[in-house]
Amino acid sequence: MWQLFVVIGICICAFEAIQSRKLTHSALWLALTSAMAAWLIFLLGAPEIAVIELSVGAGVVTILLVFAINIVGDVQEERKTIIPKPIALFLVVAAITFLGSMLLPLDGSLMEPVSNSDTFSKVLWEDRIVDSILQIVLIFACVLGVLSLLEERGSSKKDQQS
Amino acid sequence: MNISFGGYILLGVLALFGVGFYALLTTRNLIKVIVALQILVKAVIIFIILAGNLNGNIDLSQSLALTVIVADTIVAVLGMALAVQIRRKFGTLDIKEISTLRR
Repeated sequence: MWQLFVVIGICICAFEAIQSRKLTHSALWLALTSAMAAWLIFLLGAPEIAVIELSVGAGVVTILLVFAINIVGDVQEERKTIIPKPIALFLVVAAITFLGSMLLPLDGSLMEPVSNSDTFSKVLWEDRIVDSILQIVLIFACVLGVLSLLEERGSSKKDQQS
Repeated sequence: MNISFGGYILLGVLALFGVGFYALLTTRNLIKVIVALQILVKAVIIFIILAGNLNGNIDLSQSLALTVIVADTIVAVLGMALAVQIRRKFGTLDIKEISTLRR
């Protein structure tokens, strides 16, 4: 029963995150969405990922978002949209219907139960070692990307001064 | 209509996916685009964990979810760095204005 309330809470928080006109409010609603998603993941029996989601999703990403919003300024978003709202709604309903028709009813016909006695660390560090290496490479790429962006900013400042 | 425990969560995941997809289609602010992407990825992570819970292979789904979280965080960080630079260079975060600007 708890899961149902948490799922409804996640959807409400996500809706508020996209509805808020102020970017800071949006970031805070997103943090709440992450926290509730972590709670649901914990209730689904994945405590390790729940902790990571809570610390990364609700912690690091929120801090970086608020930091970025402070730099760019918390502007009020205009209500104009890229594509008309009725078309966007139609596309969303079509996508959800397509996904739902493939996945519902969730009667087990999609996923056959498997018996697995491996632990999370064994799966991560032995069976999925390529994933782990890929994550390390991605993190290095991210650090290099952010550093190059900051460096570009520094050089443009020097250009402006000269 | 009898919906199981997993069915309720799957309906929530689809709703979350819909919210994120709608925001991605309609928003014009670059920071809001990152927020929409985060919401979409939350739906994916919850679905991966739900799938692992249902077929009894939760450790594999945790491993896959960890990869998704790392990739998603990197996308968010790089997106924010790009947004800051675009704001400094062009003075706006509006996607439509940026796409029509010429240097």
